[in-house]
Amino acid sequence: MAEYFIEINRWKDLVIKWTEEFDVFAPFSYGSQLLYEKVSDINVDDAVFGSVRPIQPLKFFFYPFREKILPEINKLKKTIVIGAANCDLSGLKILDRVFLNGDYKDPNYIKRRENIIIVSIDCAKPLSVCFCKALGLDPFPVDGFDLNLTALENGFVIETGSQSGEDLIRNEINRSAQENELEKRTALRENSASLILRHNEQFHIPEKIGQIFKNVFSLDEWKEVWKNCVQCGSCTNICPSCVCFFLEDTSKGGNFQKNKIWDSCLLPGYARMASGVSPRPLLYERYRNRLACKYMYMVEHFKMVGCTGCGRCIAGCPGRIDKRKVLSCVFSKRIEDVRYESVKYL
Amino acid sequence: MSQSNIYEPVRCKVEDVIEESRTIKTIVLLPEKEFVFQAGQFISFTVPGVGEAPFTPSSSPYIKDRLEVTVMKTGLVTGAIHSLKKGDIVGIRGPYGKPYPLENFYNKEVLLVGGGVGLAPLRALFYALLGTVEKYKKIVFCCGAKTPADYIYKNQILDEWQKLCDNFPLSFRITVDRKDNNWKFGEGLVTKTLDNLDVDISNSVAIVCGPPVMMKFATLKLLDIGFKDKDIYLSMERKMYCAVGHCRHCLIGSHFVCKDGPVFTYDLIKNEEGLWA
Repeated sequence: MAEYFIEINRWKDLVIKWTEEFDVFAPFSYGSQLLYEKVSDINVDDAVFGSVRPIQPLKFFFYPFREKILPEINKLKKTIVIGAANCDLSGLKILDRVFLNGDYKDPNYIKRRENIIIVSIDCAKPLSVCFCKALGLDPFPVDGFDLNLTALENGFVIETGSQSGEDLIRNEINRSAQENELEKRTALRENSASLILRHNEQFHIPEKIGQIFKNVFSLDEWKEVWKNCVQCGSCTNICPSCVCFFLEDTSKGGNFQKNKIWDSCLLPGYARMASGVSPRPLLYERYRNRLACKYMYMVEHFKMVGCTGCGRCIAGCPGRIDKRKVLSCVFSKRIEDVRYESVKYL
Repeated sequence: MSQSNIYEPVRCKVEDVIEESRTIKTIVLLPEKEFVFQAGQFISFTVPGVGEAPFTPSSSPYIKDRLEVTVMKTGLVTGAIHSLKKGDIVGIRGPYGKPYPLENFYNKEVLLVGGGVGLAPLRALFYALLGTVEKYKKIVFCCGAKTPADYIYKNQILDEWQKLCDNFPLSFRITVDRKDNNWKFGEGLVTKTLDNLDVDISNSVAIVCGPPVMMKFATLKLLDIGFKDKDIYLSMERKMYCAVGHCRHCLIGSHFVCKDGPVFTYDLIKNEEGLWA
């Protein structure tokens, strides 16, 4: 919509001002990673604006691990989440398509979508696990945000993406972004994109993976590539677009109550029926299913690949499985070591 | 509230519990408000405090104030359903999924193939077919169970419905895997009832429901005797929670059993992983 510029100190004052009316969350450093925490005037100086995606995807705000779904939540404090990267906005698009789809809309998700404002940030220092470019995404947002930040040396270019974004900064910002600031933004964006491209040159992730994944579904290579999987469910929990859940019934008498809790298709009980039979009894089948869901089923359901290239499932895997290597093995029909070493900034 | 919660069940009172066999009971429910479904659609049945599981009603879809669900005891929720007593309060959500497309069966010979508790959805379908019986050339109902004692709806299948055969273009082929001394119908797997069928296969549809292994071999047999993939209707079963296409547990490949099914023609799903699980 429009691009403005705000100096660092004014920005921090603005964030503190927001905390009077909203719960505000922003990324904070923990070792080499970022985690969302609630912002207050005490900790705002430690918040990191403009590095990389935090460990948690937006899913954690819009679709918590466990919550009461019947009856639905009734009060929700207005919230601002600062720090999502484009990969996370893309993950949220999948959640929208699942929970706001057709006749059946998730009541809690509707409320959260109405009450949470998203301030995204350009990815300036991608991680070695990041591979959004391989899936056609850029490390900077183009839509799906209320406000977007690009960190320059002395402040931020703020782009508005919605009316609620506009409302948040009205009367708070004194000038539009200048030509040279927008040029700097373009240069920074190109730099991040080329870093990610360069770092992923060794992998063979086909450009149209969503169209051709079905061609590799039945290959024998799948029987090898999963072998470091310990079916812990880390990858599904940390994934911005993994949406599976189960329902827990806590009703008493005719007073119906249900909880909704994340599930993981890697777990043996996930699809097992009461008879004890499962359509995917073997772990390799369940491992393949997770990728098939992202690169094949979600493409059919939502016309978009379910993977955003955020790299969290690589960083979070205790078996150190690098999904990019798995895909490379399958698409090149060559079995190689699929393990990843360690996550670092590029 | 702008819209009702998609997970809110309709309260139902248990009116009766009918013991069909050692492992199967039919629960008769009185919903608090009118509950309309079409044959083949399913409901999500809540036992308060225990859990929820999907079942296809087995009663006539023409009846709107009363609903029957036939359940085999296999796990936690079905165990709790079997413990229900007259007067207990439970919940049902739905109906969900696509019904049997009766209009596709018009002017055709309709073959129903059911085994064990798989006869439950077929009973609802059978009632629906009877209500529009003039639309079909012929109805052949193939029924199977392990032993005579395992037959559900004994009074209807073995007696009441037999009498209908005089007035309608209707016939039954009834078998058990192992018969006893009093059994006066056939012996052998339900697939055996598909031998020497008196139907015009080029103008027939087959609707199959039963345990996975029975569905598999019945489908293979139907293909073998000349049925086309697209004329074989299968009632698929998968683990399911939400029933509305959110939780993704029930996917067969990219097909949601809850939204796209539970009734599928074989051509749609024949190549999917773990189909007969």
